Amino acid sequence: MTAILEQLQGLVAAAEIPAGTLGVALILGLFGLMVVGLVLGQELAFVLGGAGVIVGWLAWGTPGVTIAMTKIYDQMQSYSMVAIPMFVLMANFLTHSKVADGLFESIRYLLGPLKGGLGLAVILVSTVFAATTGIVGASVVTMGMLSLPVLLRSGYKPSLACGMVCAGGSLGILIPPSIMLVSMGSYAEVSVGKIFFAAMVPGLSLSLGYIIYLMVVCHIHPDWGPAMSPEELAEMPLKKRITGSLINLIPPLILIFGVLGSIFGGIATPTEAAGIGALFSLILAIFYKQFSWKMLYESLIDTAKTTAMVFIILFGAAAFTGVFMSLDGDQIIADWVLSMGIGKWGAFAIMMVIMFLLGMFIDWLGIVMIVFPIFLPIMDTFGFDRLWLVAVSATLLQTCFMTPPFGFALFYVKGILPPSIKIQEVYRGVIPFIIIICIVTALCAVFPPLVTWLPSMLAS
Amino acid sequence: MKAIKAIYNGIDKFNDFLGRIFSVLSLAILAVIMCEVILRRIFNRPQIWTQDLIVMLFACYIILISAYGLQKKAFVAVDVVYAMFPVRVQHILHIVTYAIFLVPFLMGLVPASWTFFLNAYTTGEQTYSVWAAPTWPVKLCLFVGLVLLAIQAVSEILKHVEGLVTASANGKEAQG
Amino acid sequence: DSGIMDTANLNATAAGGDSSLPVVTWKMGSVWGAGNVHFTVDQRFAELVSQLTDGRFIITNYSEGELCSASQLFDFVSQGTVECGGDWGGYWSGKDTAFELLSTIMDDFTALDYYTWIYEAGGMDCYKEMYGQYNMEYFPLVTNPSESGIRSVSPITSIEDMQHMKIRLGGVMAGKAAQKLGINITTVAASELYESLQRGVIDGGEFSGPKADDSLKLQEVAPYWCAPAWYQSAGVNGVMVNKQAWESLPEAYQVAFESAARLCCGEQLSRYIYNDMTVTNQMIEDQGVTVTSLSDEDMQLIRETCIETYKEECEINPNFKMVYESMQAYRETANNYRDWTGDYGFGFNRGE
Ligand code: NA
Ligand code: NA
Repeated sequence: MTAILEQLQGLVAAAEIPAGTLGVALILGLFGLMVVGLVLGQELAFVLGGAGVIVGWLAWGTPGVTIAMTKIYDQMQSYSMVAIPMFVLMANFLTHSKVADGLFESIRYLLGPLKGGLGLAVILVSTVFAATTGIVGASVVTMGMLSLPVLLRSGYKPSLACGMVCAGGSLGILIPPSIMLVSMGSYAEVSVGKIFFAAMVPGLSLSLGYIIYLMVVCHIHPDWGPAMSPEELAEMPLKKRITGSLINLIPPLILIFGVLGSIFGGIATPTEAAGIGALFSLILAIFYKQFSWKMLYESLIDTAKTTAMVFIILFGAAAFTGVFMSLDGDQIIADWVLSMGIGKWGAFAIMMVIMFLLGMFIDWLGIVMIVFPIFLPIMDTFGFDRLWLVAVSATLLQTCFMTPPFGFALFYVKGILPPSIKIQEVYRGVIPFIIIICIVTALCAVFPPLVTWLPSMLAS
Repeated sequence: MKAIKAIYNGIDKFNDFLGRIFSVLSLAILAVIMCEVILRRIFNRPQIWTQDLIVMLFACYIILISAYGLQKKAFVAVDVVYAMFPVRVQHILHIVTYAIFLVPFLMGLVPASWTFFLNAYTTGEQTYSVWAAPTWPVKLCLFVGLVLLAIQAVSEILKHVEGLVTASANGKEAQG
Repeated sequence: DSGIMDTANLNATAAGGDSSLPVVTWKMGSVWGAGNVHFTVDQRFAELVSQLTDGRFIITNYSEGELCSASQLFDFVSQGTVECGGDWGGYWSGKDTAFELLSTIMDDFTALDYYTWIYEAGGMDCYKEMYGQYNMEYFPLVTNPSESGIRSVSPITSIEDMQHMKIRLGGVMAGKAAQKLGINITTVAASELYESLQRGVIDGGEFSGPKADDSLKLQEVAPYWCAPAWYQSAGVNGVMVNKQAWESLPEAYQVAFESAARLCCGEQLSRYIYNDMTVTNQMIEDQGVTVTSLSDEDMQLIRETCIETYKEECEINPNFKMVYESMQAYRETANNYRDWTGDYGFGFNRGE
């Protein structure tokens, strides 16, 4: 392998091609390798990292590898990224503490008498849970395990039930806190605190959109989301439903206040707030009598797995973008896009479409790491506000968890479903929710204050 | 065949053991963060070492757990096309793409990170802060983490080799 | 705005008409971000090199993070991953504390002192020696005038005031001196400075001179300004060049590179000072910033503490001692001159 590379490097070094042409060829090689590797099923991290190191080596020999390595080292030195393992730890403690269980039990009885009321409960609990957890896995799995069996047993249309669990569970990574927003903000050099608040209104709008859809569709087709039967409702008296809902709301509210509140109030940086949140969740687990040394140990192990998954991709992407930038790839692509004369909104539309399409095949982190290095410089030349752009992108990225064939939410939900329900049901169920996400994304693009108002309120 | 199995089982046990130990580092990061918050916010005595230490622990943590993540199949791939091939071809594809991507990635970075560490160690390089902590421990962890990843990569490739041999044997049996 | 005169004068120089010289393209990394005032100096330098070589020696600027982070640039240039890099030596104090003196000093030099010391009084040798130890050539690009001072949320009129605050202070030596003075210093990235001041994460902080501070709009969140900037009375930014890359240049390009650096240094000195003057007026007259100062006793204590900090470092690090003594030797040379020129040497206000 090394011998082949050394030969090739010699050829490249000896080639009397003008620098520009060679650069373009190497950039094409970089992307060509990436596509081949992805299609052939290699892990995303190694495809990006391998392509970066190979092309870096071809272009400059050993210094090319140094570029890749120092980019990885830079990635390890980022204080704001420390928030990621802390938010993962927090989510794992929280899942073990079973905070969401009691809340869902009470709220589903409270809203049960309505047509589609159970669905409403799913979205509401998902939204509250989303404001306490920063990773998608925790929220989809928790909501799926809690609500899917209940939804199916209550006679909900399976595709609708699957769709709402996918959509509701995915909110966890849009509504702050979120490791996705931490990574995006960190890459785009936008304050993580600001991007948290910029994503708040889009996230809540999605939640509202889902609720409206559920209410309307269950009104038109009452058999899709039947109300709870009187016998079942009798299991929990009204008073207990109300007090149970309120009491079970307290722990998540404490967490929301502690984490988002401390960022909001300037008491702590997002990294520190993530630490505070992790500690709170651990205390909650103790309070709910779920703590054991085994539980602590399992949480640490799960945190290591999720964190490793995120950072190995970031390492690979760092090597890839380091080499891409050093080849002036961002400028070459920017010049190329600018020369097409598609204008500001044309470029924006292309970026959104590419992110949507990539979302069908890879996860959010891969998309951010491939799309941002290429498009951010272009968007800068058009004068787009980065804060707004990152928030709109984050909103659109909600689709990537749900668009077939590859989507985290799809897989998690499929894993929970009884075998009698086919994956096609899930695919069908998510379509309306994907449309809602696209509508909300478009609204945020057309009315920027939806995104920028909250962060600007904070500034003044 | 038995030798292959013995090698990858040995590697897996080794990295599993280390990964479990390194997992505890996340608690250490949490502890230092809380220390920073309490000292700065409650006692109004910010310390010069907390932020450096948080970043150093974090850097060591994320690179040292990589090999463990690879072993536990935590890394994502796009398997839309891949999944359409028969199992035997999948094993071949994985061996080939590991050779194209993972092997150069590690063969490039392992020596580069060693030089990087040695450079920091011999010159006594320190962080740019009043605390002025040495930078070599983190750079050493970068090297060690990459070496562990390389060792785990050997195990993964061996597993595919074994899978390929088994699948071929089964295929022949089915035909015969 | 600046190029017209220079272009006219320079067309006839070094490599100007000589088309037999090869086209050379270099990358120039930077420790400064794209929006930073200091980055424009890097860009101006690259422009001058191009003009002096009839556009045949092209240096492309990359802002911080594009090729590598600020902290990695030193190794990148030293190893030849990139040919050159615009720096502020203080960032390399982790390699050797002597680099800090080559880029900033507490309660001592003015920008003009640095300028004179570098080109006439042995300063350049110190740069050649220190960067040479790491396989690099070095050329200063600007000697910057005094920083602003500490911008704070509530007024600072004594060292004691600062002891009750959380303050961001760059520079390792300044941090050590501040600790001796009992001041709580906190690490905050420059990009988080505005928000940290606004939210009360810190009570005060320094970034750079008035013009650069204005680019972060620090005066909006910190209406008080405690001057002068004892922790950095002057500073130097420059360009590091990999030795092998330097030696591979045709002699005419080496001459052009050195001339461009020298030209940049003079041009930027006046530009920095004038910009800081006009921004100072805006801040004080239009934006309601209040300037406070410390008592003579406090300033005396600071002076003694700074000298003590430097003396201690000289004991530990011979390279630091070498640079510090060269600077102090220049200071000796200036003594009699400073005495008799009085206000005429470095200026005075008429108090009209
Ligand atoms: Na969330
Ligand atoms: Na998808």
